[in-house]
Amino acid sequence: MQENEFEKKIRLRMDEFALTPTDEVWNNVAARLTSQKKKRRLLIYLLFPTLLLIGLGGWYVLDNNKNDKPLIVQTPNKANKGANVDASIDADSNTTTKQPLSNNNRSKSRNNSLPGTIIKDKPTAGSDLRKVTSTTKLQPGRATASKDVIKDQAGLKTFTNEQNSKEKPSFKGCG
Amino acid sequence: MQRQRIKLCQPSECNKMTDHSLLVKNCLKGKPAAQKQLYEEFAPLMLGVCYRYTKSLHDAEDVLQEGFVRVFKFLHQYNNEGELGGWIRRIMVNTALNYLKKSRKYQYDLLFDSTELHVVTSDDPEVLLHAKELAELVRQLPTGYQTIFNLHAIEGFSHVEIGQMLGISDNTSRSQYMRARQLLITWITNTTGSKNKVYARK
Repeated sequence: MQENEFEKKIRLRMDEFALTPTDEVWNNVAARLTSQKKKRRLLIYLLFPTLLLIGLGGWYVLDNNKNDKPLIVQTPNKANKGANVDASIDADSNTTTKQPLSNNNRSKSRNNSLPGTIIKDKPTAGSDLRKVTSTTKLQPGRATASKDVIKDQAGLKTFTNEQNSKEKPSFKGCG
Repeated sequence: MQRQRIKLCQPSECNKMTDHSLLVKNCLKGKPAAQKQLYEEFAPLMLGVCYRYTKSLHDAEDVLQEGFVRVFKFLHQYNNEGELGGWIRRIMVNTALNYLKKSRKYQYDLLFDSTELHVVTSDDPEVLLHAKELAELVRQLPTGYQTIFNLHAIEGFSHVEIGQMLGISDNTSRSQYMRARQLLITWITNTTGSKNKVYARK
């Protein structure tokens, strides 16, 4: 092919083409080679102590982690069985909260309950979590023989159901 | 077109190869004498390569210097199978291409916008010029043409390979090569006819 012939001729000519570079080129190359050597040596000198430090650091951290592991002590199960849990339902949010029940807590929880509420307290273990406090609303017309003392939440006003029944207005005379 | 000329190993060349492998070994050991010997053996030819890709001798020497630094840096990657000269030449070509891409002087001329194809010329002029004269003509081509002509006609890379090297399509490479070839043929014909003509191109 003609195309190849032309390229062949050019290539043959170019293969023998050479020029002599100035001495400066080799001097620069040699200078860069020595600087690279120095860098490499410095890197090797720095690498060994760095690796040693990293190794020692790693070993120290691992060793400390081993010592810091918490000791697991198994306690006898009987102690856990005796623990009671008191639960109370928050009236607003309907959430149940568990509290460890000591005698003091139990008495406190009773004292904190609203006046006029009757707490049905079942001592069974299963029902502990679902204790329901039921309230009985006292209505004026439904006075019972027993004197129910009602206090408002602030505890300032007191009255009895008997009084309520007496205060009822009678309309017989008016007619 | 074949990529590189594969030469059969003749006795003298085999001796050369063993010499080269010994030279490479000594260079890898960091012996300055061996490094200088390697440089002195290949520098003139490699400067010729660098000269073809650049527009001035100073730039060519810059490329040569950078190229030899890379040669010594990556010499451990040379496996004694191929020709050492070919391996060094490849490094020089790559260094020259990088230089052209990085250098502001050459960047603008390396923009290849045209993708139109040109008719293949059938001219085959007698190349009676000396190597130096021919190299001068190649260097007078615009940088883009010059680079593609060097890569395709002299180094033997295909247009697909050139496209990958320069980040252009193979059609662009082909088109640019045809233009360069046509231009060079005209110049060669004119120069052969009247050697007194002066071609002033960047």
